[in-house]
Amino acid sequence: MNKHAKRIISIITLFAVTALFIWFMQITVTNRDDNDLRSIKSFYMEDRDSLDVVILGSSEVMSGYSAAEAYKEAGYTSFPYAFTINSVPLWKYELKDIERTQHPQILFVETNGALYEDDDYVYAKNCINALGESMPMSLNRVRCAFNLSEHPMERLIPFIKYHYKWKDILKLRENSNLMLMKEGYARLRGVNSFLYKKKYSTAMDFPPDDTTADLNPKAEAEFAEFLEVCKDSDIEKIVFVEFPHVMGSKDLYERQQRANHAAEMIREAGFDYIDLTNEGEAIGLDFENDFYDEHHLLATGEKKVSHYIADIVMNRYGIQPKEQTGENKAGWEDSAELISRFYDEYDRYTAEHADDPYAKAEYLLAENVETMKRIGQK
Amino acid sequence: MTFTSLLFALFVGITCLIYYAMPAKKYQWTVLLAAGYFFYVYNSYKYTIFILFTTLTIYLAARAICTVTENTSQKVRAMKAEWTREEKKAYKKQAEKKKKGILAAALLANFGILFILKYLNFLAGGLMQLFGRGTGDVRIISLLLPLGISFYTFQATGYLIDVYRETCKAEKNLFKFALFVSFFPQIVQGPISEYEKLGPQLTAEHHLKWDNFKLGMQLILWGLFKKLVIADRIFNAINTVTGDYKSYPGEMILFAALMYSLQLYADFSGGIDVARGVAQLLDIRIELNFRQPYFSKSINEYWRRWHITLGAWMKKYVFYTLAVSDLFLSISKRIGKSRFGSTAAGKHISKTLPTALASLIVFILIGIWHGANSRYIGFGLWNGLVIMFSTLMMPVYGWTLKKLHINAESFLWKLFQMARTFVIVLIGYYFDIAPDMKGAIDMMVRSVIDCHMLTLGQVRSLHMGLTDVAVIMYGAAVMLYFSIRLEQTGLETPGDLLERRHGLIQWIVVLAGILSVITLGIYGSGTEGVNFVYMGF
Repeated sequence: MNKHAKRIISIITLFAVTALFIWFMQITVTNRDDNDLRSIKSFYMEDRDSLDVVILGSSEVMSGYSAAEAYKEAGYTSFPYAFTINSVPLWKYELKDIERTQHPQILFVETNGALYEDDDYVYAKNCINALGESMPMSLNRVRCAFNLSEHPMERLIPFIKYHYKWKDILKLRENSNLMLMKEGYARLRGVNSFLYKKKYSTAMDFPPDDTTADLNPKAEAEFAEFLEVCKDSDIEKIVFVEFPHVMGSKDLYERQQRANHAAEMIREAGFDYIDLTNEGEAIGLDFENDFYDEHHLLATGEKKVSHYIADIVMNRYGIQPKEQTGENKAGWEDSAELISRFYDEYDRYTAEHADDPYAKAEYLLAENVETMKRIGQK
Repeated sequence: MTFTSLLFALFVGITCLIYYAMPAKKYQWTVLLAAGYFFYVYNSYKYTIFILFTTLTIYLAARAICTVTENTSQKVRAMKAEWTREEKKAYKKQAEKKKKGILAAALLANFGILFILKYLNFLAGGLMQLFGRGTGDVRIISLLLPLGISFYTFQATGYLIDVYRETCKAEKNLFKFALFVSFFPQIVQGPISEYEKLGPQLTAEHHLKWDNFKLGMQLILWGLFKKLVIADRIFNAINTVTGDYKSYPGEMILFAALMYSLQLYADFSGGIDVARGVAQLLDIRIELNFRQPYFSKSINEYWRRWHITLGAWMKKYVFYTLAVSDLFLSISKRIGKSRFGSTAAGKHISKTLPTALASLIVFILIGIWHGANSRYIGFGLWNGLVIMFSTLMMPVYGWTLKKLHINAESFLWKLFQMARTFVIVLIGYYFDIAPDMKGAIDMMVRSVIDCHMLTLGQVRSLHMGLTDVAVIMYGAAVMLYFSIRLEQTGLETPGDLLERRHGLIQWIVVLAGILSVITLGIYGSGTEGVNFVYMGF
């Protein structure tokens, strides 16, 4: 072998070993017990073009819709592309990724992320980081990172930011990134159930009406742009939805006014809009007992809303679920069984602790992968 | 775009690509000029006018001096037959006066700008304080310092003095001279290069060479290791103590000073290694600025190993000028002629006093060069006085060694000399880390009279976990190993040492270096990195 070949080989192997090291360390150091990251990463673990429905949204969706329960109920596959403060500037990138990976028959877009008042929420750094660090590498991710993040390279190579956590290599057995990779899919399909009730005003003191209020100007501009992007989308049916809230304070009422304004924009753009707060009765929601707080549902409410959305999907829009086969089908059956056991366990636990409504049922928290595994083994 | 950023890596990569891909090698230097100005404008666009001013004034002054020199010799040659010796002398004297005038005007303009930007506030504040009219914090002008102003001013004025002394020819091409002033690897923190050594290299034709690529990359890696793994990890601990030193006991202040000696060396020499490595990628050699300074056996030697190019500049343009000046020589003569001058001590002092005095002044100037603060004057004064004292007392040392039967070549004695020199250097560092001269003295006193055994708990209270301590020890051990090996072999860089090893060992060491830097380095928004210390000068 001549010296030029030797040099080229030594440089290539040096780069390859370094890249391999960074890839492995990235899995290690970016491991966080974080529902948002896990939720986004789980979406990308679904088989390509296997989902019938995707629901894009924020924490309301994570805690308000169980894809496994909907599968058990109606037989279609779905996934919540959702995380905390998933605000409107991020949606166009998420839509591109959903189109690229799944081509669902229906995409629901939960409007909460367009209703934030403060700029700090509209361009929430943590949420931009969560998305940027969790999407698989693509041109879309590069655009998202460079357009929205102060440190785009850290979004594309999170190792740059988190390398200081190198000692986490000692906790490989607890690494949820590796656990997810080993499982091959998220058994609870992205749901993050709330299991205990927070103190909040349960009375519907400010019932919703038709009045409107302006959105944050930046959010409004981003939302208008997103509606245009939706018009050009390959996805046949895009439906905008507002998840249920308890109208217990003036803040919530004003938020609802902004939701009404967003609804006008949606209808003007030619899309359907469903406000689930107004359909609470049809869903069968108990506004006093089915909510974790004014914004988020408890596991009981999540089950009811999942059934209601399944009904909309099957009966209002009449989709034909794709036929699932082999390992994928077995996985969904497993998820359906798991969620049943999960709800049973929850019902049993809450019945046993009826006198302690604020007890933290930590051993049950779905966000804990260890718990997910334990429940799965029962 | 600091040397440790990804953007800088990208910038260097693109520059190298265009530089070597340039079909007309004759104009390869224009790539470096464009890159230099891009780098400068990107980092300090508001102050680009100052580097342009220096470039233009020094270029024009050098051209004017060169023209006067050439015209004078032509005229003298032409009038060889007609003019008497006295007439020739008078004509030459007149020309010399003219050249001096041009030199003085250019130096005044450039050092004037440096003075106004760097020292005016300090001087005004000092005067106000002297006359009891304020605390000394006065802002007559509120400008940040233009990037690298102290470095490029010294480099450009050195060239002008060389042209004046006729040791170097004036560059005819303004743009080639502009490249000499703005060469991007060294603009941030030096080294300060001489035109004769750097200028011709910058404008020569260059081809990509494997050795340059390999050694350049290794030097950059070594620089990043020192800066990111060692220097930046210590920074916060030092700052915690020095920011509120009165709240800490003597042992913590001493610990901070010791850590500073490590941090400053790793930071400054690391930056210089990156600069030299980048230059080597471009097939250009720039001066060595450090040669294992903490192995010095005297403070004189230390200053020949630490910030070598600043010391060389001062020696060439200030020290010699002062040492052979009429004033210093007349003082020496006076002592020599006095009764004291006839004694052995008097003879020695009359002989060495001009150099000792010149050293003192040079070090005061070095102190002032570092910044506008009484602590820097203290720093210069301390080093200058030690050097002056050691120069004047040289015969006493020799006599003492002889009387005590100490073998000057023994290892233990050399070790003692190194330790002694390090203590002198460490005392000087107190001026660096203190808020002012008074604070520096207070810190020194506390380090001596209030010093107890340092505990691990105290170290951890400085935001340093056990991991930090372990990483710093690892980094320092690696640096010490390479320093010892370089000292033993006389080689310049760890890359030179590796060259002697088998290819596989080279590969493993480089990989270990890369993995150490990317894993243990302080970079990214998750950690608090800091700028190079000498960027502030």
